[in-house]
Amino acid sequence: MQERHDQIVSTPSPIHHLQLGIEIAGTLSLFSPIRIWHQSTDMGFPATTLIFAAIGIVASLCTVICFNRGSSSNLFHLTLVLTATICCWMMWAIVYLAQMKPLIVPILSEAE
Amino acid sequence: MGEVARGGGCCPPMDLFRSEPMQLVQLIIPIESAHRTVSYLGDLGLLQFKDLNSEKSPFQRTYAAQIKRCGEMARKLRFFKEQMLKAGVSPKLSTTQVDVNIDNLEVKLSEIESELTEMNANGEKLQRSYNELVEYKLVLQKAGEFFHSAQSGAIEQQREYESRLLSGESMETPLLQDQELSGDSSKQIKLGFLAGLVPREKSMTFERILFRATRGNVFLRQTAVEDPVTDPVSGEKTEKNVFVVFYAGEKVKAKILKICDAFSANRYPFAEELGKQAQMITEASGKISELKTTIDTGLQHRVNLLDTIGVQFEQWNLLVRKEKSIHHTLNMLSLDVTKKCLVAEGWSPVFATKQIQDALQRAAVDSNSQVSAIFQVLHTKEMPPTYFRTNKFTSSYQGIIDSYGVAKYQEANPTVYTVVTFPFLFAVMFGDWGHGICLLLAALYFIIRERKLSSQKLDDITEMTFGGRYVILLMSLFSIYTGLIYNEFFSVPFELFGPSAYECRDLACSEATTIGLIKARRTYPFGVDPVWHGTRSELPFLNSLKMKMSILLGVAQMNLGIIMSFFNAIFFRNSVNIWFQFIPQMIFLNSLFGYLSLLIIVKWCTGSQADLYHVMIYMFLSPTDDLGENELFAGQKNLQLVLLLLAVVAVPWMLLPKPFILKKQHEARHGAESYAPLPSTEESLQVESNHDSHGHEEFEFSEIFVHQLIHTIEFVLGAVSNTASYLRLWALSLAHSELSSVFYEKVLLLAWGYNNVIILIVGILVFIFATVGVLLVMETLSAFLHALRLHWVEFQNKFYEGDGYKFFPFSFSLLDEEDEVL
Repeated sequence: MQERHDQIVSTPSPIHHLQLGIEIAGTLSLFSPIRIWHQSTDMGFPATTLIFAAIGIVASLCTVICFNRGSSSNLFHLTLVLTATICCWMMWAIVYLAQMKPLIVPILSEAE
Repeated sequence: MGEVARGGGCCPPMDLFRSEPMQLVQLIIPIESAHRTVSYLGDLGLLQFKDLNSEKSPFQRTYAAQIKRCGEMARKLRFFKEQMLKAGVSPKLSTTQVDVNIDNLEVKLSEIESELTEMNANGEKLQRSYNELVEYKLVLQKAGEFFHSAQSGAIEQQREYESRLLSGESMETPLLQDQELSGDSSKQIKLGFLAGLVPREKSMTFERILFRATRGNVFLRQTAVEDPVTDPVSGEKTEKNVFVVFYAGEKVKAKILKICDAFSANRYPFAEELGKQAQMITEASGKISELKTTIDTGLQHRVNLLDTIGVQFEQWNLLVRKEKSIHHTLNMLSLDVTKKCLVAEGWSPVFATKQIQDALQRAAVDSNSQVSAIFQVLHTKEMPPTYFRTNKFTSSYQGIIDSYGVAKYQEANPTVYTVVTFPFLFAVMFGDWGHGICLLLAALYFIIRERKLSSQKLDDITEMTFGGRYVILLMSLFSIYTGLIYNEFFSVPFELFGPSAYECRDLACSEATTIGLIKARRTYPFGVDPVWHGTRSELPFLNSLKMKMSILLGVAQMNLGIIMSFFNAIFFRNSVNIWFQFIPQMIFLNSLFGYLSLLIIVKWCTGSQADLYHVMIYMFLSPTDDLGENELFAGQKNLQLVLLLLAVVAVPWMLLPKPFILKKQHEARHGAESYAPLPSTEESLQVESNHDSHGHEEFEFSEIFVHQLIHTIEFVLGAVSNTASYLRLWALSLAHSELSSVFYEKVLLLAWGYNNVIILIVGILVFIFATVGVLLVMETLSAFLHALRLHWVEFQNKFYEGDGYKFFPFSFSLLDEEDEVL
């Protein structure tokens, strides 16, 4: 942690300042008790999958209600929304699963 | 091809999934209402006429004379447009719709044309005379100056001489002088002269040649005219010199005349006496001003005429083009001489039946015909055209698919899925939410100014971009999403969704650069962990992630393609295709690459260190060997044996049964036939193309077998090559992120490091130009192309036949797009 702060201080670029701010805010959340529970049972995957499913259902309902133009048209719009939801979920799921139990860890490059 | 199977759906109908059902209709139109009927059908735009007179040449057709008339009128309108452009009058869009009869229009157009040509000829004549007069005046002025100065010089000399004479006779005065003076009048040689204008660039040569031709016995005086003069013959402004040449003798005069003509030097008559010169100058000036007023009024008259034309030009133009297209269509109908009516055949969508019948009814009523047209649906075995009802959003996607091949009549349309998967695959290769926002702004600009831009004439590239504005909109939205997943904003990661999962092993972070960090917290909830950017192990991690992602996405899309072929088989009631094509294809693809996808997911979930290359290769090379440390789950070896067996069985399953079954089906259908059905009255007039279906249908077993063999080999080899082809998703995404990070680190950060304002500004400019030029334009086109290729080849070769033809109805609105110039 220390070294990363040093890294950030030595090359003062605007985006790194921003990152520092966000990181400090994130660090404060480390001390929440929920974190401990989350770490022991990785609930992230099913929970977020449910969130994607919920968003998909809400979007489908909105499309059918707002653009109601006959059953064949509705089916077409539903197909589009469903395909989009599945594509987005697949991409998220792949990236998430790949990081769950990593075989490679980040090795920082030498400080410039 | 066999019968057009009017398939039924297993599933509820979906817009755009299959092309509209079409029917072949026959219209019998009485001649008096033919013109009006075709006109109303053109307004409707839902009928594609078949050419029933295809064997006749254009000159043999019924309405060839009318088309010639229309062509004449079109030529006259083109002439008017030319004249209007020359005069700078632009045709205005007329708001009033005045009904103009085509015959009256013809007469009017020829009237206006003759008037305009006459005015043009007169104008030219007047202009020429005007220019000549201007030149004449110049000659009078300048040459007059010569004479005046020469005369005054001579008078000076004379006076001097006379004064000397008058001063007194002295012994000094020479005797010869008296003689010279007295002998002057008797021996005077009459000098002639010519005056005119010669172009300045030729003046030196003119002088030289005159000198040589006349052996130096002429006297030439030239002065330049200050302003350029309009040459009467050529009508252009040229620099000229006024010349006066003095000569002695008739032969010399002839030579000089020839030389003047050769040099296109205009000659003008010039009087010697001073008084007459002045008179002629005033005369010339008077004529010039007269001519000027005449010319001006003439021009004004012409401009007025062109204005009146301009008001109605667009309307006339449209009318003539409509007439021409109506007559072209009428030429396609066959004339039934005995029944005094025209027979038309065409394709139209089934839903348009009522509208067509209404149009026919209206036309019959409007043309006061006793009989109304007859509308009849024909049965045929021809393949109908493909018609998709698209809106402005889906039409660009349909265009992309149609560029590869128009869908066969009523086969599954890939557009339905392409609307989402094409921008999605683009975004997988583009993945940067900063660049995505730039693309979004560009797309929104085009969409917001849609109405204005669609009425303008745009150049090619802008037109293509404008046509694809909705595609670019979706591409940008998905790019923002994948950019958030890859965690790249102009290659900079952000910790937006929670803390990073990694931290140092100990408080001093001593091993961060050797062994690395460890995963201490829960997985970063959305996307790639921000800590990876800039680390030494970033590329190995991301490469592994992206390659596996490409395989997973590819296998998913290919499975979707095979499932689409299943839907096609159900629709066309082709059970052979289901049992002997769809099922073995699914088994083969999924037992190999579906299994690979499963292994990838299991490896990620368990965190095992198994080498998947090893697993897959040894599954084929030595399937019975023990897996050892590459075992991901219990029973893996047995599962692999089963899958390998299934894959091996699937290949002959795809290859062998289908040709034999097709042969049996063909024999069952045509074997017992000893008669052919009579052609009924409901058949199309063009029977000769359908002869094959009545007679012996061609069925070459060897051809079918070879076809199936090729199909099988293509699928089996394609399973490997197409899956590998999806790795371009990884390759382009890597290229994009590397380029982006190079521009950020080596341009922007470098410029920031110097702490100098000028270098910073230069650095920012270079960064912006590089981002826009390389990343936003080149990378967009590149990713667009590769995503397109993935759709056209890897997705569509699983199910798409694409050998249909597009529905192109007779419509006046399509006419406008055809040719801007008549």
